[in-house]
Amino acid sequence: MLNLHKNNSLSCTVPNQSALVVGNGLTASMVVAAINSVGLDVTHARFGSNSSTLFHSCDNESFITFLDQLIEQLPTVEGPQGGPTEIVPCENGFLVTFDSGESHEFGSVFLAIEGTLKPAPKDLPAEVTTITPDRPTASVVSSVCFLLDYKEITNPSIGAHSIRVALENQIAGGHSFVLLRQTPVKGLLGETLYEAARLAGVRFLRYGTKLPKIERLSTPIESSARFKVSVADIIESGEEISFDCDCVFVGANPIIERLPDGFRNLLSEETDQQGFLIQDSVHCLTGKSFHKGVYCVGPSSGCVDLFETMMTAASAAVDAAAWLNFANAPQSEEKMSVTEQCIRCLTCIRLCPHSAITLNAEASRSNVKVSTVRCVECGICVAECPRTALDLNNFLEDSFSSLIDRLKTETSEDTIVVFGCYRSAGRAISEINLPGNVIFFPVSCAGRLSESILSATLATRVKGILILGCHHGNCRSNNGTDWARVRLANMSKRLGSLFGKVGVISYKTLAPNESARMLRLINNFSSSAFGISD
Amino acid sequence: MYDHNNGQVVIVGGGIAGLATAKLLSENNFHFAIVERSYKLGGHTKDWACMATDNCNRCHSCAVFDYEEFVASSPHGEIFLRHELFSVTRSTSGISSVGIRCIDSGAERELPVTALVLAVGFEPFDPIEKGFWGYGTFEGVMTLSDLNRLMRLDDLNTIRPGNGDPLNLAFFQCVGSRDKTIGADYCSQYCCAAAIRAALRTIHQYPDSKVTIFYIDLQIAGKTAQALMDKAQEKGVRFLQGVPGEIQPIQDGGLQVISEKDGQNVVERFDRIVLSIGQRPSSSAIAISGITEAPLNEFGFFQTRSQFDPVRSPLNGVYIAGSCSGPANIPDVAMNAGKVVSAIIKDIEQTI
Repeated sequence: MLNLHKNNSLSCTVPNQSALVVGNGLTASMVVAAINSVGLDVTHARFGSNSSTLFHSCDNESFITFLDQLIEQLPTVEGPQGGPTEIVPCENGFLVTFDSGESHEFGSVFLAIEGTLKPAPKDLPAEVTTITPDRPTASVVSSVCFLLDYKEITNPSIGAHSIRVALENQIAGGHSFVLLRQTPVKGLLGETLYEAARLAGVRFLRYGTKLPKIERLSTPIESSARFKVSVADIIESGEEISFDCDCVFVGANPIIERLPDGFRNLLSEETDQQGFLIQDSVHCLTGKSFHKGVYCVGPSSGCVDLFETMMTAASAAVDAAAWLNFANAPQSEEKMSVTEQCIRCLTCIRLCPHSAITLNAEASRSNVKVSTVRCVECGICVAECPRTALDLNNFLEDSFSSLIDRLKTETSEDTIVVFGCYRSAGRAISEINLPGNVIFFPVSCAGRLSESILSATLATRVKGILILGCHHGNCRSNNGTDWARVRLANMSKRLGSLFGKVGVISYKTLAPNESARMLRLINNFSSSAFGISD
Repeated sequence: MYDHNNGQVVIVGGGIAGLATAKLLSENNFHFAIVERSYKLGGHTKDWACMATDNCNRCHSCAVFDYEEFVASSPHGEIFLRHELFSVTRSTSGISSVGIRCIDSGAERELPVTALVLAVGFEPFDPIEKGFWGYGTFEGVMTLSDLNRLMRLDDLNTIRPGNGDPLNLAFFQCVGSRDKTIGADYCSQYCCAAAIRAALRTIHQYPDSKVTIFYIDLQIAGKTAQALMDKAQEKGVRFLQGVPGEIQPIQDGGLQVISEKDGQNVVERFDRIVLSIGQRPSSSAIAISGITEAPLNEFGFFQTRSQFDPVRSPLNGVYIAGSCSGPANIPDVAMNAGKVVSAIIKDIEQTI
């Protein structure tokens, strides 16, 4: 760390106020500038390609002005070369080990690498290349064909970029054709750009399920045309139209790039449906991971739009500043306690979605340390700890014991217990009146409900237990709600035929704005628990 | 790091844009004051339904609850419900204070300002403006917000046919968007994905439902786009290019439209037709532009400096958050709020 400080302007000595940016291109530059402008100390580790995969639809002059301004704003912040091989949460942030073997601590880490585009589909002639931010360039005056939505919908940013280049080529005296299924008009000025291109004479051809045919002309005679394009325009007659052109470019969507090992391992639980980093969860807006202090911006998260990446960079930087501000403030209370029952199995470290539990560097009986700032009190670790050595101080295990004691003595035989996640059911309940036989017990997260709590509750006189978690993919702790579902399935497997005789138990999911549905779920559950079918 | 006294930011509008901005400001040691005309925080988003089909479909409508809870309990802010902006006092670098007034009592007060954020949101397009869809006349024609309201109240069953037949539902896209005749020659950003989610949500609750989406161009960008389309196709949502121009009521209480198939006109019957209404500039945009002198653009949204500077008004000290600078969906608004706060921090640092 000291070496690093000598060579650049970093003055930060508290690792917790620092940010590491990993990447080598435009995305990384935008992130570095964004972090710098919110007043955090930034270190830039160069990793991966420096050729950008960010597309934009503004004119070149504005773009160049933007680049000039960006370069002006960039502080000199070179850090270690190469990608992090390991990112380990520690009390003050993350301990990051680089390719070179050196390790440094950072308060927050940003992944801002460039991306890759899929290769051109194999059934197209080999000379058809993919559209990239700098190919084709608008300055090439020729007849150019842009093939969009070929086999899958082209990313609208790539589509809008293509229309801009097509327009510029047309204005410069060339001929532009755009073949598509969906015109990309997203954005306030999308329609304006499309309109301008049409007026300038760019030919838009909309095809249906029948794909356009692109042939390489093997013997170009007098003209320089190299391709013959045939397409059935569904808006016009539907008849096939053919034309020759100099070059054909196809829209290819981004795919996931090789990730630095450190990020790949840290975020292995956090990929979206297509394998891009950071889910599109409501809790991960602005590029933040469930691991507090970790951010992904740009192509590694599936975004190849320049403006959107710029916005995410700014938002992530502001969020990081907020996070470090919070993390550095004195904390009054410990959120979790670890008892001597701990056998150092490290299950909790493995399971925590927020990197809140770290190894205790100082020798102690428990060996694990809970970060008060990172812990959001989901209690997944408490429920899964094999030695029941952990407890949440604000949501004590004892509170469940008291509930169970109460259920044993006070309840009638038609009592139904609803365990609801505070975030969803706990809010929805404020708008409804529960039936008299229902006891609602809010939990910090459905993931807190251990099998032992559920078994003990079932063993009382209650008629049934309904667990209301957040919808899959909507849990504030990533998979707390899924833990509840899995535990229920395990219980039913283990209890086998006994299950159902001791009581009825069910798991449903809910959102804070589903009060009316919550009441229906409870009523339906109530009916089924009493053997009334709905 | 910043000191706790970064100054006070006044935010006009307590919808999701205002709340998201307030949260980030508060977390970055600013004081904030939200000035909201209505009786509640949360704006349009607060009335929208969850679109989950057991799995979250990323409609993000629940985000507003998280923002609201944080903002309402923040020690760094004040919330003025039923208040509106009526004056601004300028300084050399921007705006030094604003006057706000209680709509009910008329009581006025002055708030010192370090930065002024306009987050007045949008106005949903009223389809009555274009009579021929029969909105307000034919019972079966509703808007996407009407459908959301039904879902929110868990009343989706009320639009199913009484005879037990499956619900046959259609969505008309681009209602009040991409329409030059009403000055809305732009895409409203949110509606394609919102309609697909609503279709999936309907089919999830009543799996026998048949859903058709009439569209011009499907605009679903972002990470979920392909997954959402795949899901819709898997669930049998029918996508038809071209939006029928007219809706006619028929005797059995249904609605009929003329659509096109293989170049031929075909008549189709639906139980209900949902108009995916676009976002128009806020009804208070003109008044607020008049008071603040923050200029509006050709569409009537608040103007920003450029595509690369999308949150600063050309007027110093004024920032534009959320959909009042152009149509946006919830994730866009959340991101935009970050950019607003980043610009404010940067500008303040430069003036110190």
